[in-house]
Amino acid sequence: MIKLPHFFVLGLLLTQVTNAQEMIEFSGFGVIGVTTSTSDTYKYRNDVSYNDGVGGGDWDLKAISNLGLQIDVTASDKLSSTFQAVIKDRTKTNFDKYLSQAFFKYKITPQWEVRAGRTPLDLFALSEYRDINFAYPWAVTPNEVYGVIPHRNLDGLDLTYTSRLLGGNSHTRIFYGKSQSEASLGEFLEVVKTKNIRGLSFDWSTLNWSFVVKHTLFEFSSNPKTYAPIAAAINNVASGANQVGAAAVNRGLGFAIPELLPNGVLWDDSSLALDKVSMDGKSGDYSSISASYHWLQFGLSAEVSQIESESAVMPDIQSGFISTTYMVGKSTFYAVLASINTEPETFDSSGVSTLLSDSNSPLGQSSLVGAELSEQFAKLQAAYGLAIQGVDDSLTAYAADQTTLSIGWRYDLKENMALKVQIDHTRIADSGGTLWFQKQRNSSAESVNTLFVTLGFTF
Amino acid sequence: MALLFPFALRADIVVIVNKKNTVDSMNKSQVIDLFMGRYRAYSDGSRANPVDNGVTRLKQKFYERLTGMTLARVNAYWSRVRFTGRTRPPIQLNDSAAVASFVAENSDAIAYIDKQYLNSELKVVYRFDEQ
Repeated sequence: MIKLPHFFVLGLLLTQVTNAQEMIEFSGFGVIGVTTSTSDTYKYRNDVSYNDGVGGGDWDLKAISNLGLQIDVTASDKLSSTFQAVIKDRTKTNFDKYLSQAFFKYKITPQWEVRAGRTPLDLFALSEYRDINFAYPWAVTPNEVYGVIPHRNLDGLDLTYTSRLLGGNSHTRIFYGKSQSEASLGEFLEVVKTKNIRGLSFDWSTLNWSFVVKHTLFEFSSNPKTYAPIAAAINNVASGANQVGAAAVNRGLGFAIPELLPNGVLWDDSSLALDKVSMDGKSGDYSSISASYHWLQFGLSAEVSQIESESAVMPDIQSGFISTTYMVGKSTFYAVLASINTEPETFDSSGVSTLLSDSNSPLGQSSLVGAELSEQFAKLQAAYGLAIQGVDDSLTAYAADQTTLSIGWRYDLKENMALKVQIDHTRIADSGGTLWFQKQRNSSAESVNTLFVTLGFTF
Repeated sequence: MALLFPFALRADIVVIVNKKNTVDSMNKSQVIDLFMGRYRAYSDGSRANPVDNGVTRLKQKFYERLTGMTLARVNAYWSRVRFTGRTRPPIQLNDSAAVASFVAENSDAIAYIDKQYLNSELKVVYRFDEQ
């Protein structure tokens, strides 16, 4: 489905095509990638938006392959537009998912330019070109930093100022808009919507040095699919438990069960648990600092990044990588060390009476509370266990804890074509495998080897 | 040796602008900025229109001497810039004659050619030291 603003951009593009003054350029990029990975439990995927993975020694052609097509239309010295689609393995595809760029650019002066429409989302150092295999030395961007972010583009506008600074060039950009993507974090493919995205990006570079700082604020504008059933379960359990407690009080069981509060409340504030599993309206931020240096044949680059969120579903995430390259003729040999760590919250049971959470609760003893009440309580306690399991699953949805050492080789076959071979060795901690596609969540620790062979090109 | 590497010995690359351009000379970093799309304006603030030379060996030599990078690395750089919608690479014309003709007709153009194609409509603003 083509959304109206993008249709408008496309329509205006075609209108411009009929103007003899303009210049139209077609270009593109792509990668044919073969991937194999060793684990039956943790299946490799390029980022959390993929609802499938490759593992168990299988060979796969779709996991990292893509094809990008771009049309640039120059209407005048100042006004131009760009339209780009990236075709790759998607679930429930539609045109909007493939549309990566559709914007107008107005160059106010050589220093100032503004873009409006769909632009690449400028979150981290490589975010804008992570799908362009030919652009970077590695076969894939470090998953620890980039795999956790499903979002790729921004529907909004940005303003960029370019200047010469301290012997180099700098770009300072502010942007505003919204973004939508998908994340497969459990049994569901979630739609993750964000709005009020406000970002600042600064980069300074010479031919040898680059230094990049980015900070972006955002607000979730959707809840996970799991939110509604978990919220209903929590409300039902809390309501039912408090009724059982009140019934016990009415039966004069306060003396026999000292933990029973006078009002019979067993779950004091279930709204706290509901708040934990919600995302809608919660704010967050992305931050990144990166630098790179090239000297003769040697290159060194590093990035540290952090994601913070008010929502417990997306806990604070710290990640980073360091990479070194060595060039000999048309070959580039490289190594990358990347790591990610999250600190997921757990369900806070301080508002829940032990009478509800304890498996040996007196409320479950028919000899004490009667057969009817104990039977009702047993059902409630089972429902409570499921609800808390749902809460804990939500709180560990983004739990990623792993480190990858990669070594690889890039060979420039042509000026616009590169062959790359890369081997990853990843150590995944207990319940830290969110970046991988798993049939069952929260699996145990494991080491996984992954091999990539890619042919990246531009045209 | 001259028979083995005739181009390397003969090609004398100069960076040229239209003779009406107010810029008389440029330093290496200014030329890099223009041809790598980092800052596309002359020192007087006016817009610059860089042009690539389609003679592959000339282009290779130009970028190697200017940036120390192979064409593959230059293209990798441009794939980051172009496909993120920042800016486009220079337009490319077939040979030095076409480039010289284009620069002679466009006052904002800047290009590089084999010195033998210089004419009275062009002005040299940068020469590589070791030629």
